[in-house]
Amino acid sequence: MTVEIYLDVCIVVLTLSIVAAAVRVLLGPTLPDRVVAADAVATHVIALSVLVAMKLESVTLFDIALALAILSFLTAVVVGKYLEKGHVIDDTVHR
Amino acid sequence: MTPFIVSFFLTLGMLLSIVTAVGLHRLKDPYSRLHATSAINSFGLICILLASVFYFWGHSTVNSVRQLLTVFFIFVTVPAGTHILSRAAIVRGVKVWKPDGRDLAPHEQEIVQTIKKQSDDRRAQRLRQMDAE
Repeated sequence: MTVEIYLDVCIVVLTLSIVAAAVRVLLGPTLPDRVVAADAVATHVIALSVLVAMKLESVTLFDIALALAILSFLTAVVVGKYLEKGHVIDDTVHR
Repeated sequence: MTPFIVSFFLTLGMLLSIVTAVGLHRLKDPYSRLHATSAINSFGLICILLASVFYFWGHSTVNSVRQLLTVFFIFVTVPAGTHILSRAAIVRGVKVWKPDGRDLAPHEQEIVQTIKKQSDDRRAQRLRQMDAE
């Protein structure tokens, strides 16, 4: 019973962290700052979905957490490549 | 016993999440902010997933394969993503923050120049290829 109440507290704390990271996305002076903060927001959303899954005792949200983890990694790689060179797929390395 | 383990891991995860939120605002440049976000990115998320594994301990309907798979995936991919983001920041010429506005030491400047030159070479090679095609 007490764990359920503690879960609510954790969800509130995570939401406040998301708000703080979103403020950094808006303020960040350079583009990499914003990307780093957006990556942090994505990770917090994964953690939030896990907590909601624990609260609802549902299995489906773990699938969503896994898919979000894969998507956030892909986003970081694609945006990083784009910021570095202006294009994503670099096929000149192996030639 | 299980509630204690669950709340221990949850507390650890929440502490790391707060560290991330504070670090994103107190640190000055993207490189050190990457250092702050890696707290929740790798270890905090793993703590929360482990808490959920112990929370569903003994449930017959919920198995913990997905959580453990997510832990493994995060462990593999987070260093790669961090590396690519910091490299992109260096290539774009984002300044490294130093206390009292000092410049980089010569050997650090050399590293930055090497990374930039690598990226420029690759871009030039690609442009030549596109011309040839």
